[in-house]
Amino acid sequence: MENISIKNLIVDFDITNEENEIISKKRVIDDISLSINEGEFICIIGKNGSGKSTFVKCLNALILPSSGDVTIYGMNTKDESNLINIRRNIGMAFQNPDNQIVASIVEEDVAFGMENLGFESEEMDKRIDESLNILGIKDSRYSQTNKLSGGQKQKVSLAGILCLKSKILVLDEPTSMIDKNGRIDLLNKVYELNKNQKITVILISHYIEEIKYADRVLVMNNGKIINDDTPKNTVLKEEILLEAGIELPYITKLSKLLKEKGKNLKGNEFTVKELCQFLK
Amino acid sequence: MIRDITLGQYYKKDSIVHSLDPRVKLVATLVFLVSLFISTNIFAYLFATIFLIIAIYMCRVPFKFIIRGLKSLLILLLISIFFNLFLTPGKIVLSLGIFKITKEGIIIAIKMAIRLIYLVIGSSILTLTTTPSKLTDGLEKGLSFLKVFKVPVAEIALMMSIALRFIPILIEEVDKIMNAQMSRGADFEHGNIIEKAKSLIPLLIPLFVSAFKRANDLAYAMESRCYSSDAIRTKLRPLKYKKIDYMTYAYLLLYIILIFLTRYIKIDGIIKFERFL
Repeated sequence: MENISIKNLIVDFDITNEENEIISKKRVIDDISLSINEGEFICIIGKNGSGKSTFVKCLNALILPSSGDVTIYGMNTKDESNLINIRRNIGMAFQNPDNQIVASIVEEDVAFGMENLGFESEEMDKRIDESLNILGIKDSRYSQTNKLSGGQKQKVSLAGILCLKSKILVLDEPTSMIDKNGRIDLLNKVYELNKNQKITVILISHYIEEIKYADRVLVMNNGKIINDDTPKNTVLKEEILLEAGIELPYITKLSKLLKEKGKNLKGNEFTVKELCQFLK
Repeated sequence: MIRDITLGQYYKKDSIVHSLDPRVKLVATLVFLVSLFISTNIFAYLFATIFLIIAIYMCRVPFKFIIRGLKSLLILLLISIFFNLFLTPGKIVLSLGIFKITKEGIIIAIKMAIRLIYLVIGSSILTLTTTPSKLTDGLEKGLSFLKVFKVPVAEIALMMSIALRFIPILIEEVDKIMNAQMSRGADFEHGNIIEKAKSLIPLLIPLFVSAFKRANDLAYAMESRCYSSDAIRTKLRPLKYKKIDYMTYAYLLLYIILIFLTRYIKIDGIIKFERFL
């Protein structure tokens, strides 16, 4: 079932001078049409300024299209009466965990979204318990948010989204501020959510290794989607990745070199496990 | 370096005063402060002292924590005693050159000192037994009647709690910027006051820039989580009065009545005592 549909999306940013007059327009999103189905795991990669963040902000009406339409479960983002319902369905987590946590205590922060929607206390209690349990941070329910590690903070903001039972999860470079172990841990949890609860995940990343979780990889450059394919096929398209300014994963590079030396490899392996299987 | 500043002075303990509804504590503090300033005779001060002793005993916070707030008051206290002691006209008791101590001066100075000390101790008990977030909750609920006059109470309370939440983050940021600037030769420690103030500019500008950036991010995050100022928000832990809260209100009422009654007490002995002072 299709749950996100985007038609000819264009976003222009106004460039103003000091007197606040618009002197020119900068095209940030350039004619994107796309549809995303329920339960898909999408990974968007691209270099800084390629329009990834702007694109996902269009999904929950944080940024409105200059032209074109974004429709979530049949609701157009341009229609203001849909706003709360759209945002209820799309949970969004951002890069810096510090800047998205509202309250000083974990449970209060997790409850923030539900408070906004007018939930009852008992229901909130139940859902906080559930979502903290899923993410494995039940012990820190009463901890102070600023005493947690980066990975845990990011989990707290995820928990705040999960308890709204959003069907779509958008993660805007959630792992860029946390260390490697925290990163793997967080993404594994997101992967489980995608598989077990059929939550659609849209993950923005600048670590190419993270595409291994995805069903579909979108590569963005200058506001355009220049690739929409499976991870396996994506790593084979070296020119496209080069154009987007993305380096191949280390393992893929290695497997390509080995292939050139005559080993029986496909040249699109990007996890150590896969590479080992072929080398046996 | 400056990361270990604790915000507020909440002292964690399991006591009756801690468990009281923050609104009750706010009202009690207010009543106590007002009672200090309408007290005219020694009986009123006696009641205020009893009230304070009970509060100190019940909150189970070590006494030395409670009187810590007095240190910062010391200079103010000395100044007010000095002015009242020497500059109040009246019957001269002692004369030292141009300084004259009068009987009225002594009385006013003593009253003033007691008021100031009690005032600080009273409000210290409030902040020692209530977390900042509870305090904002209490203010929000307690002042919610102002909504009738179109005062955005809930928004102000949310602003306060977000400000509280960002204080440690910004302190950390200051630390980072200071280190970054110091590693490039900035000097924050030497020079006179004007030079020191000037040296803060390379600290403050990046701090403001980053604070605005954070505010922008936070606004996005809050909006994504369905925040809108028109919607009616609920609370995870709504404030509810318990039996003990009502009882405290009753005791407070009794206290107010007692304080007012002291104004009409006219016992000969007391009057003599006052004359003696």
